[in-house]
Amino acid sequence: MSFSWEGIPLDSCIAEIEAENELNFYYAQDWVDSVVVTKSIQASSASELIEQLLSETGLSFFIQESAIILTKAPIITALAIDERVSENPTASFAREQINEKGLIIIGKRARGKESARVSGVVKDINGNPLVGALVYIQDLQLSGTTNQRGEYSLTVPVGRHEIQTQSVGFEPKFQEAQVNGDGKYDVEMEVQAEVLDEIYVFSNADRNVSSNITGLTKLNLEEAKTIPKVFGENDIVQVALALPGVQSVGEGAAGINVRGGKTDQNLVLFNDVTLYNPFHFFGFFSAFNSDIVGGTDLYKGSVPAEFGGRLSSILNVDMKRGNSEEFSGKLGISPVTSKLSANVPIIKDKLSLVAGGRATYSDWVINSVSNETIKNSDPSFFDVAASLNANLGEKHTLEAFGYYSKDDFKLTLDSAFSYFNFGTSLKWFYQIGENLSLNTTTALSEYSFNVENANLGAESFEYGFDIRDIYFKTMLNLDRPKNQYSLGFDAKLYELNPGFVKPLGPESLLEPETLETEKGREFSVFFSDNVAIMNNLTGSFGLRYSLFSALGPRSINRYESNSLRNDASLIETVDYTDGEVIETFSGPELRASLNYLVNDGLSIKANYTMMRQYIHSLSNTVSVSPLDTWKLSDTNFKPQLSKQYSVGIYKNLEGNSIELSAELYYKDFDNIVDYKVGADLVLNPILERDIIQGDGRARGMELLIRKKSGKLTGWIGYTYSRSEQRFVSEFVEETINRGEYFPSNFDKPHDFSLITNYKINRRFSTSLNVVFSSGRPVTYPTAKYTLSNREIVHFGDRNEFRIPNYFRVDLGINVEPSHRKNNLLYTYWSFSIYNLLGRNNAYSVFFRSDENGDIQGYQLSVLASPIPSLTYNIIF
Amino acid sequence: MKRIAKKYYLFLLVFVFNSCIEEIDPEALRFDDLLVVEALITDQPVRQEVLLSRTSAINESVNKQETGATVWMIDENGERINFSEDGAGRYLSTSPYAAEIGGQLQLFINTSNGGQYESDVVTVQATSPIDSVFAEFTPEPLTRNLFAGRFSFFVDAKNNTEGNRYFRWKWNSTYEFSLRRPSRWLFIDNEFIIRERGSENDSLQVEVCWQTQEGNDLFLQELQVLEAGVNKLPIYNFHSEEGFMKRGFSIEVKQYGLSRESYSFWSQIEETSQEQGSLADTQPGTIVGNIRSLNNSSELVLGLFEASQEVSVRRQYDRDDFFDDGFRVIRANLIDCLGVDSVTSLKTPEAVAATLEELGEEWVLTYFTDSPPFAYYFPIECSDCTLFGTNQQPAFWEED
Repeated sequence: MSFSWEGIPLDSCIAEIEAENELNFYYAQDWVDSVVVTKSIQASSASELIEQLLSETGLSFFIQESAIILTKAPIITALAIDERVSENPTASFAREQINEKGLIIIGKRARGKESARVSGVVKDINGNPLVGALVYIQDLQLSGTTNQRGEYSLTVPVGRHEIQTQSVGFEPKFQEAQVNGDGKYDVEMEVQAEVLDEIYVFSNADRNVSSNITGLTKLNLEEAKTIPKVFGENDIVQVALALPGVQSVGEGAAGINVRGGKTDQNLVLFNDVTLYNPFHFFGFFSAFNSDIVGGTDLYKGSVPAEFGGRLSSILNVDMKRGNSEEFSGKLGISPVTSKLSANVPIIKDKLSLVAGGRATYSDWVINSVSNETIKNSDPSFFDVAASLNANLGEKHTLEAFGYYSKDDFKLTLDSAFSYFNFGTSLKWFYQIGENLSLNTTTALSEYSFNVENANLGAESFEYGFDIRDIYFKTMLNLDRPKNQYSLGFDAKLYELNPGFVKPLGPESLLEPETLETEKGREFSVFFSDNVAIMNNLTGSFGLRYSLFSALGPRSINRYESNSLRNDASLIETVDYTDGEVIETFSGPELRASLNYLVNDGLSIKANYTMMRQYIHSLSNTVSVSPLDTWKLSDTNFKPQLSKQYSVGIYKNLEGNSIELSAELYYKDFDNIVDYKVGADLVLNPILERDIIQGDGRARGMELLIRKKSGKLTGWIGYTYSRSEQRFVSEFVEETINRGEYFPSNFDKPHDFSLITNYKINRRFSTSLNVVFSSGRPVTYPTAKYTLSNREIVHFGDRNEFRIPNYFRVDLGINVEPSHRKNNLLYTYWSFSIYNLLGRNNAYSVFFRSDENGDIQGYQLSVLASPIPSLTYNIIF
Repeated sequence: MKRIAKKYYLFLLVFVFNSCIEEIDPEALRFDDLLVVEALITDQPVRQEVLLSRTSAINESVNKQETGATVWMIDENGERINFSEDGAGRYLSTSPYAAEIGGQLQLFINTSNGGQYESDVVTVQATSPIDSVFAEFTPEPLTRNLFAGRFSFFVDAKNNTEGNRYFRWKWNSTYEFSLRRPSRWLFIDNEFIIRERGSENDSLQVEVCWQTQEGNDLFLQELQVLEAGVNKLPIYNFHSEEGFMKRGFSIEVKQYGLSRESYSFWSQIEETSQEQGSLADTQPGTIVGNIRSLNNSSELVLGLFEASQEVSVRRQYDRDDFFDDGFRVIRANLIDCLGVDSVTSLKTPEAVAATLEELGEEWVLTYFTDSPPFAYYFPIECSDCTLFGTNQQPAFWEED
């Protein structure tokens, strides 16, 4: 076909083409008004013709069926097209097309160009950048994640693609796009209009059938409103506990057990600050104020190479990002705490502050209570966190973060206990080039506890422990079309005081005693590659090499190998000077996962993860006790090692609204820690003689069915899992249960949870949760006898018995705010009844002598009756 | 704010009172009915002792003995040493037997219900001589007694000639005491019988008695430097107000050598005997000894069979031994009965019989006066020392 125009308005040229070719052009009138065409065109196809027609006009186009849609290059937003279409009442067909697909054009067409770079920023409706949002193209198995500034970039083949964007707590966004060349695609995400009362499980979330990570759970607090609340607090750890693979020894117990691992095998990071005791109030609350928590990842299966240091999981909590445009705040009142948080823009688009604090009600309330028991237990805590975000130009972002929390309570009438966590971090993000960025963090973390008892006369004491670390990490990220590379290293310096005791008060005659300070240095390098191997097969391969050195000054006892550690086998005590290397451990940690996409809704994943751990908590109690201390690996204390194999199958039904997943895992542990019968962990300078190290194994099957949309949402999770340990030695003191495998303290084979939410209308919803789990193992006395004039209690095998099964039903009513955006102030509240049936679930069973000297058994139930609580929130 | 305060109050009530501790029925628990063996064979030429008992359920307060068992030992020469039951659960070798130091012994038990048990072969451990047992007095004055103080007893075993590493000590003590108003007369079958000390009825005297206690502490020691032995190991102490040093005090310390297995066994016993119920309770565990069942390999047998040389030292002290240290006895009797009124009656059999009848068992006839002819009665704790001990002087007791 050929055309020839001489000073003809573009409008008329188009009309001529339309008439001859049965094509319909769509465009905004003002784009073409001033354009005059003087051209002679010879073309073999419509697209060639139009391409020549539009050259030098600043307009681009794409063809959809018989519609030619003009766009203003390089970007035309979907909105612009809508406007154009709505002005043209005759174009009803095209309007439908566009509205459904919302097609956009990215980049300018260029001959010979086969791939293009699409980049942009993902923000929420208020302009806050969203970190960790996923931008991906399903057909191509291509994905990118937004960085600290909400920026992403993808290299995609030129052509038509559906770009999908997901971020936790936001409506997924689907965008049909014609990618012609390098260009920008910014995404504004809306908060999920309906609060789905769910947490979003990344590992088996709809399209992330295509993610190659097994056992990664993105926890979302905002949407976790139906998770059972003990005292009206939304709590990230409670959310985690409602999911397969995460357990605790009992309600209110501090510490979580992830896939059969001990409580000290979880690394808890809050903006890269390590929290050594991430719990308040005996364990009823986690250290995280839900109002300021942003993205939270719990890695329980596959762990990216950038993380390490603990065997079982990484709980990576990020504080909310600041919004530099608008002030907002939130006040929450619940039965135990009140909390306040605010977002303060300081310099528009440059600097913003997010800060939040939470505290139990002040002491005067307690003091006004006449009940002595209450007065005397006097538990209180507070935590504060703040984050300052600065955008320094186009390429640099800085985030400064600080956290402090303190707990006080009394263990007995006279004994005061307190602990604090302190941490601060500075993160620098540097976008070096389009595909290359650098993340650098330094952090400082400190934990300390202190026990005082001033009413013991000559034995009045103060006892304490503290640990601190300095952390540095830097990581380069390079995005290539089929690969995402990360390369970096991190270093952590530890210093801890294992314990001291001091006399307290003038009457005390106690000899002060301090255990030697321990120091250590952990250094790791890591590399990972996320690669699209084939169309349906993606993989993630990582290698981390960690190196730990225990450092002086310290004196270390060296013993004969293969003998019981005692004075007889003691060879020498070696004194090390400050900074001198006592012992070094190192080894590779392999990480690999594969994802095979069988078809659109079905995928199979496999994963191998290896982890090493050089710091261990010393706890001879069943749950995490506030008196637990930490210990670094040294000559007499080997690092722990785990290897996990997991496979999973993920299936989505009903247009992704129903997800099914099944994951199987097997985990091997080496050098897990236990203690000889009667070990003393407090102020023991020869602790190595009381420690035994053994191996463990855990296996499990995690099934999850979840419904994500509709009036009824929620999930059913069932886990069958076993966690066992074994301590074999030629010495009977170092052997437990004859060297056979026995269930660990947190081995609860059956774990079932039903979490449902029914939305009555836009604002009201009710939730009903049912939780069941097997009782945890426990060691019972089975007899008593007399030996050498002493009465001795005989215990059966370690963890031979189980406490009764756990069963609980919770009910909740949530009243959501209206979603009108113009309200200056809105409020919402939730009412819940925890343990609706008032069942006395056993926390522990123990035995003690009664006044006649007879031994009597008791069962402790922590929350033995229905607990109502009301939470009220104001957002301004 | 008031509302919040109220809510918090409610919360705390909930918090404090929701935690509930219920008694559970331990009968629902399994009871391990196990054999318990306690035997320490020594090189002393005596009838050796093996104690057999059974565990009891934790909510029972009975001691069950294992009776009717057949017990024997085989020594390093293959010789069989038989034991016979002497009192429930107490088995004594049929004749005196002195174990050979360094010899090998193995214990066999056949219980009456058909259970067959044997111990590991144990070596008769040597121990080193006790160099000395000695006492120290530390003044701890009281307002009512400026001479009060604490007696501490120590053992030295510096001369570790045998090169043992693990030691255990046992001790027992005996003290002599008197009462303020010793009864001099017995009234039996309408007759007055003299029971004064030194009289023809000395065996009936209730003026001076001896009380013996067995220490149940576990004294275990692992030597850092073999040749060094132990130096001033504190064995026992008591405060003078307890009254053990008013007339005389004797302490016997026995020392044994332990095998590493025995040492470890007793260490575990020692550690797990500590009080449970605190915040940091230690994880309990089974303490395994060296006896096993032949019928059923999964049947656990508690206790330990061990053999050792026994060396012992007895030291007897009286109050004058601590005179230079500042110790004085203010009141010579264990119970002074100051201000206790006596009851008086006529010194006739009829009157005495009637009075004793009336006073009951808590009172005894103490002495007579001739002019006026009265009989005096005192509470038994002022007059009869056999209430607290034995009136038979122990064989080892040295009179001044």
